[in-house]
Amino acid sequence: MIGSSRQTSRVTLVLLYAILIVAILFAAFPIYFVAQASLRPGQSLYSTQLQLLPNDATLANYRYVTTQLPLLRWIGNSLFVAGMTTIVTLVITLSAGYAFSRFKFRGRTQMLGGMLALQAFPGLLSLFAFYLILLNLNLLNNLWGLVLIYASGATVFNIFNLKGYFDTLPADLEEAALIDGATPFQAFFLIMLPLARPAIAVTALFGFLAGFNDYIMAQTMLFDEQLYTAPVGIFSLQDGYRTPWGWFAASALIVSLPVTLLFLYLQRNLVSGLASGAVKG
Amino acid sequence: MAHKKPGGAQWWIVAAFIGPAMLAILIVNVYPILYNFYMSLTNRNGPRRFPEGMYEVVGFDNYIRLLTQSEFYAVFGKTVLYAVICVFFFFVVGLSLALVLNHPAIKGKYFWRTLLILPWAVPTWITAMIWRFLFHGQFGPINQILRSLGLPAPNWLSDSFWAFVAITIVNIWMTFPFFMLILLGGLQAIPTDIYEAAEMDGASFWQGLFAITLPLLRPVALPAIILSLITTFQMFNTVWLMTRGGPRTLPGQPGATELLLIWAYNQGFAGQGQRFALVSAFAIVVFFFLLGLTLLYNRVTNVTKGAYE
Repeated sequence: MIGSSRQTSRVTLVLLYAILIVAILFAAFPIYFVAQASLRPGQSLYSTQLQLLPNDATLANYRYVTTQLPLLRWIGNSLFVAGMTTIVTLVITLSAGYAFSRFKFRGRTQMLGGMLALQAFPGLLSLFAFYLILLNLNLLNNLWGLVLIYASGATVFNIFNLKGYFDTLPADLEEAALIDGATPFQAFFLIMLPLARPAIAVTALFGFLAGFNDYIMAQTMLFDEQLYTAPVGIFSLQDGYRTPWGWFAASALIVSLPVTLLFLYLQRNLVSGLASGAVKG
Repeated sequence: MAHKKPGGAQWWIVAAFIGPAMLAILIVNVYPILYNFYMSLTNRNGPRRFPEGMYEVVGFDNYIRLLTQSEFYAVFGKTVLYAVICVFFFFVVGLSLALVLNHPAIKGKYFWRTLLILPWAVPTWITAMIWRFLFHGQFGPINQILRSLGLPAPNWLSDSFWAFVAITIVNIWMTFPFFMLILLGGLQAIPTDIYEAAEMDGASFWQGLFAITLPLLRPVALPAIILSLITTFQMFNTVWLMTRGGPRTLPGQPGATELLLIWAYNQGFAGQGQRFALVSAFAIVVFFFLLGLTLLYNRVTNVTKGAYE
């Protein structure tokens, strides 16, 4: 009954769609609610009556956050940090993941074990050590300082995921290339990288999200309003007990849109690029 | 398994491939751990001893203080409870939806799946922002709905019990898509003729689920379960932005949603306490606990390795 192709009874079908609809209400209602809230004028959100369609829709919140607040600048900062984190992550973890999958060298097993152990340390509690590192590198209050932390922070996970993926690729192609006189670098760049596309997509996405999702590190390391990333900037709008929900909603939508599109675009790769690497460790 | 034929590479080639990553790991992983360990042996607690030169090495006092304090165990226990409850629901919700999406009678799978993974795509801090409004006692739509149905509308984030329920719901919302996708991948790898054979033998849905589906999903599900236990145990961002660990009902006692890392952050960094050495000792203790879970994860993945190759 679970997976068979035989005729499904009407009761089962109704039940299946009922589960699906409840789940979609749960998944999508919060997003729908924010979308309509962003179209409400100032005070109309402060109502005790449920209202699902804004009868006085306006773009005032959008106009306000994009013209009166440095939101676009903050988003630009976030995109810069996330983009650079993605690039640095790819550069340092792709080659390492490949090396751990293909090369035999002294200390390989010990290094893999060591990295796995290091990963168990909760990164948040490194906050003060990170602060000191950036202080000494003169990278406090600097977007590059955040890139350094985010890109390095996920290094171990990404190396393991990539190693797992490379392990699943057959070695024949590279071997043939090496016999034909290619260098290990050529074999890596020209043969293996194109084959590893799903895993690269996943690594890139995780690098991007590491840069785009963080709040507390950025909040600790940045002091200058002009340098704020989107979450730091948006949360700085709260004063005491008042929360400007209309602006929050509009900002949330503007910020989420590009990330969500990227996510949906990469969703096919998410399954193949993650499952093989993560499961086979 | 890996093919290591081109192995035995020259050292400088290996160094060129892994060097940058190793340097990053030294700076961002190794140094903070050593630094935390050193700090955990000092008496750098409280604002007066915080500046450089004002503290000294005192040995294992912080560990003794931490492990004889009841506060630590209360927070630890609550976090374990939170992680277990969350992961249970991740699995149940993820599996139910994976089964529905894998059912041959369902049309438009791609569309449904896309809608269902939306929560995963929302940045975590925006998730916190959205749900803080949804749970708002007065103006939040959840209470508006409850009131219009004549049901009691709790003051979610200001009530100890309901705040804990709220952060559980939020975590389920943002994580079930991951489980759904992973388990869907596992279901698709199970050959359908097994079920056809079972059906001919007159097996019910539940018999099929427990005798065929769950055992065959094990290699996919177990790593995901352990991995998300580890990440849920370290939950910080979303809950911190929703509640700051509150509500706090008794002064000096941890708040209702003050999970392990939120507690540590409040103790060490958030201004009031600056019990920096104590939090460093805490970090080392949690490190060993998570290390245990990681080793378990590694054993599980090694045991299940090969099942799908």
